[in-house]
Amino acid sequence: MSKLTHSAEILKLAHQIHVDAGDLQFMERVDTQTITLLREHISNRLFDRHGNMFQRIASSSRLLPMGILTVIAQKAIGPFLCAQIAGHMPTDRAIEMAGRLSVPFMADICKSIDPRRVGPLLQGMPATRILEVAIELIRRRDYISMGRFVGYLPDATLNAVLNAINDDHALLQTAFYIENKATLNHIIGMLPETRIRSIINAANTNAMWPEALALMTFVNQPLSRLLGDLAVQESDQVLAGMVKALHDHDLWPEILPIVAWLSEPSQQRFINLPESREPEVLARIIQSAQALDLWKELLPLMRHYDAEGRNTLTRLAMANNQQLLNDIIDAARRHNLWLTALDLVHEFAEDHLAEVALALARQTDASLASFLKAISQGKRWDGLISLADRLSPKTREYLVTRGFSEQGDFMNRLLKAAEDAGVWDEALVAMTGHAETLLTLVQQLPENMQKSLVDDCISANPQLLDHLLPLAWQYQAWELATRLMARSTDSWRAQWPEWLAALPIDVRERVSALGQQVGLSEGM
Amino acid sequence: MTKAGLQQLSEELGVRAPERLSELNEAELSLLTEAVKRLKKRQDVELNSALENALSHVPALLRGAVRKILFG
Repeated sequence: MSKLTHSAEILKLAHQIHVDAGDLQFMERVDTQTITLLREHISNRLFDRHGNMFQRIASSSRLLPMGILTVIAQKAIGPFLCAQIAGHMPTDRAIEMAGRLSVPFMADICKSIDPRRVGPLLQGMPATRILEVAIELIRRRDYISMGRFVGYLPDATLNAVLNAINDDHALLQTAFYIENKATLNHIIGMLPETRIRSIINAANTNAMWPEALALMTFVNQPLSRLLGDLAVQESDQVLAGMVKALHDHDLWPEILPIVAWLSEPSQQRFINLPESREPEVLARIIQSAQALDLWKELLPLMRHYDAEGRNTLTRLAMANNQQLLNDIIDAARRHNLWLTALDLVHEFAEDHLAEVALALARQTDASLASFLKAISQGKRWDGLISLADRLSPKTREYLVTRGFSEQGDFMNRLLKAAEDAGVWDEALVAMTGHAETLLTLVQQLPENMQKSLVDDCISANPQLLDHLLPLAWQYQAWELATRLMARSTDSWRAQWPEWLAALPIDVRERVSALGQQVGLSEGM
Repeated sequence: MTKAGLQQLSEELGVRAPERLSELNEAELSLLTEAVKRLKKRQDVELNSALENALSHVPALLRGAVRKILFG
């Protein structure tokens, strides 16, 4: 979690150079890696600049009895220098000495020691001794020192410490400052599920959600998913606290990618929490997605919204003017999430659906083909067409005759895309259940496209005539009807008298006249 | 152009300070440099006093040998 990791690094730097963290506020402008590097440079400088002398002090320790060494360390050398000398001492002597120094003195040493320099010492020290020091550090609330050491302890020691410390608040704080974040995978993997749940609850009761959520961003994906799923299983009250913390600390950019890989039931619960659907929360989530290009994560989540969530989203889309719709379409294109986008916009108001259609019209030919392919593969023609159904005839007319033509002959491109994607036939078949929509769309096609539709598609799928012609007659689309009748097959022509006889008297006369124009007579 | 403050911090660190710190102004760099200086000063003071004090705790019989190791 970049923001939290960054804060932790600044706090660690302040701790190292003995200044107030508030005085280092300007370091917020510097990237996290640079702060880590600066801390390493400082530590190396202190360790190396008197390296020879520290080495000689460490060597002289061989000459002296341990009792005297302990006295010298505590009374003459002090914790700050001991921290730098420790890395030069023979490991066996250092371990023996660590067992004799007072616990508070050891805790003082921890404040200045660089754990990278004393790996063998930490590996060899008895777990009981390390536990004593850990308890002292927790008593002092020196979680930064704790966190710096945790990643360097052997498993057995770590286990002993985790079992002995029942203060979940302290564990959370320590985890937040852990130097080597990769070790968290191992450490959290050692915790039983009951303990993880207890820590999650501690995060809520101690207002430590930012730290707890940071943990989820530090660990690997499977573990992050486990932690997230466990968190989302908590009570409404706990989750309300989590969402509030996410919002108050503006952590959505960091958390959205994690929510995206939670299990589906967890996603559903999380996204539909009353707190998650608050307009200002949702607006901030959308802003995060827009600013940091998190649509790939957000779009699949949004399909889980219940009716109320969708309503809020629709209101935001209206307030957000064109941008939100454009983003949704663009994300659908870039991440091939067309079906998700279709679900999402389904309940948008009519003028927004028209906006969606126009945004779609701005896509490239390849995107249009990919859109139609996605519809085909997902067998979602009904979903798509029911969107068209919801448009008023006036809006459809506007889209076909004006809106789409402003986008560079969109209908022609759409036909071509349908052809490229090989989905024409099934699209038309799917549309036959939506008579009025289909007919008004076809009627509004320019002359050349109507011809193309009839020639290319009806010829290949004569059964479509059975659906289209009665519609054309019913809606008195005489030109289209004539064109369709002209393309009719012999078998259809054989049934012409029956078709004619079934028509209402007022229509029959006109249709009969049209039939004669294309070589059909009543007596056939 | 390298900032004077970044140069001074590099001198205190004994290595080139991270380049990205050049985004800081001179006062901010100076705060970091002064903090490192204070740490080094503390180390020097504590080391000098530690060596003096340490020898006083070493048994007289071993003091010569320890002094030899420490100061050559």
